[in-house]
Amino acid sequence: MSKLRLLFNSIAVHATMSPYKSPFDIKSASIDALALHLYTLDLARLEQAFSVRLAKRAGQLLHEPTLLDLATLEVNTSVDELLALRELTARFGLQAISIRHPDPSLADIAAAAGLGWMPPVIESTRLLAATAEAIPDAIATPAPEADIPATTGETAAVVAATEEEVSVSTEQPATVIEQHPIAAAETIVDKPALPTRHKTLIIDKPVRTGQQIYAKGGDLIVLATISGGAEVIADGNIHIYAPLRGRALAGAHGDMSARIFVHRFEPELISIAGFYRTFDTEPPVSLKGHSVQVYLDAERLVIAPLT
Amino acid sequence: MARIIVITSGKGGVGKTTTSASFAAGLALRGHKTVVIDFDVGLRNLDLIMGCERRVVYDIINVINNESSLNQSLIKDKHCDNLYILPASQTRDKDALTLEGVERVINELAKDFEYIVCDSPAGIEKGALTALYFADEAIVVTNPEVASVRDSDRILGLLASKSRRAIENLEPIREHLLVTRYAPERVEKGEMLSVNDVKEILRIPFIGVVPESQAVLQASNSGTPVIHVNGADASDAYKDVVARFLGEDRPHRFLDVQKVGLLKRLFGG
Repeated sequence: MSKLRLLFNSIAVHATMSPYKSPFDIKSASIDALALHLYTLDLARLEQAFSVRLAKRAGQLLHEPTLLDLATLEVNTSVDELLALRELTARFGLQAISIRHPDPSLADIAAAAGLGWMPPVIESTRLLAATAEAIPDAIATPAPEADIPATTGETAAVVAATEEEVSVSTEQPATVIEQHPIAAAETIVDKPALPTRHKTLIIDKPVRTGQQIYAKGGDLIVLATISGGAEVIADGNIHIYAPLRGRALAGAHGDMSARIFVHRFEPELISIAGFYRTFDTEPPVSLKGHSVQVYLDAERLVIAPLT
Repeated sequence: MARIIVITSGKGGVGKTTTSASFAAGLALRGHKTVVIDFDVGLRNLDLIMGCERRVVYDIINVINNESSLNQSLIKDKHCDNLYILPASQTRDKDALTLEGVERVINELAKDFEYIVCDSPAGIEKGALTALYFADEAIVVTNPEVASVRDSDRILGLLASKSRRAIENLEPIREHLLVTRYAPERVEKGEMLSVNDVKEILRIPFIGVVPESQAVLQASNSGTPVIHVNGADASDAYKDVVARFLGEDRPHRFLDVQKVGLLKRLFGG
């Protein structure tokens, strides 16, 4: 909740304090939200159940951002029904911000009711587990033939965003526009009070040309060669105990404290939080093939040998 | 239990079909009952290299569509007894290959044959994916140049993710690196990647090199797998590869520049 407000604050600050800059910035934000899983749209029944379960907490749930999860329902809903649902949840302190349902045709109806729409997502921990089991293409490549549309779509979306950052980052790092359509959905947890423990994704098979590994929300450890034309991405740090010949992008969601550690440094591209460097010309002899770490010093990408 | 071997590369023109023909013939020459399947539906080539193009009546698509029996479609090789060819269709395209159909064909072949060699089309689309799907082993054919190596790397990624063994979480496909069209003198001049460069990039077990050789082109044009051309380097190289595949330990040859005598230089080798 607080982060969502931060987003608006930061826009205001820029507008008043930086006259030389664009009057606004768009930055990505992750919010913790409640997911309200609804198993009926019978408002009378819902109201009764809410008053049993939620009435006591009415004071605590102060306009809590809430996702209405209708995924298990065969919804044939209307704008009026959603508006009524929104009003109902609001009375119990739950500020509905979006619905979640696999049918994209509900997006327009939801929008008319002032709500967003998002598809069901695989919870991030499960996604990581799935990625770890089967490295490869189904999840790793944004290929049209991939057979897990939900996950692949997400990976593709995030990567596209990452590349967008890359492409504009040298000119104006401060005005990077990040579009992370699933940022909010990723971090939705049922108990927002608990700190999120980010899993580390460990890859022990070679990452081949055309493959893409994404460690969502956490660190990535790779124990085998990353080929030229392959890409490893993490929201956190990346540790590579093997040659890196492809691309490595750490801090994909903007974490400027993320680092990359490489056992043998022969990359095509490295990036931290969108600050990138390509290696069209070979890295200096003191770095190529050596163990290095890569980190951001202010907005400068530093590659330092590990002694 | 039949072993299913896919000959694959990603890139076109590196020698997949040449290798399929000679490798399958090599297995047959060693006494193993072998069938080689052309998966390049629409761009049928294997029958030409094997010299049986005039005997193609039915093809794998006919079998898949139950328009012919397997026995009607199999062509007995004219060079060796233990070898059969299942040709691709010339008129259809890759969409005619269905996994269910191919599985049925392969299961039926597995009853009679020891080795099923699948000649993959180039690319990473349906034809190539179908050819590699059922494989137990893969011979990854690579030329010593960067584009071929990168495409082989891509195929290795697909073998590790899109094959039946990967999807069903079975023991992974056994991968073998075969470097073809190798010219040690050009490696020495720095015009070509060395075998060690390729091994270092791909990092899979190395099964041998096939030297660049005039004999390959001549053999292909005459419809004889080059392994049958006695005395040719490429023939010896393929015989070594087959022997290594069958578990023999043979020293690697053709890696270094050979001192070529005048006569050999004149008449080729």
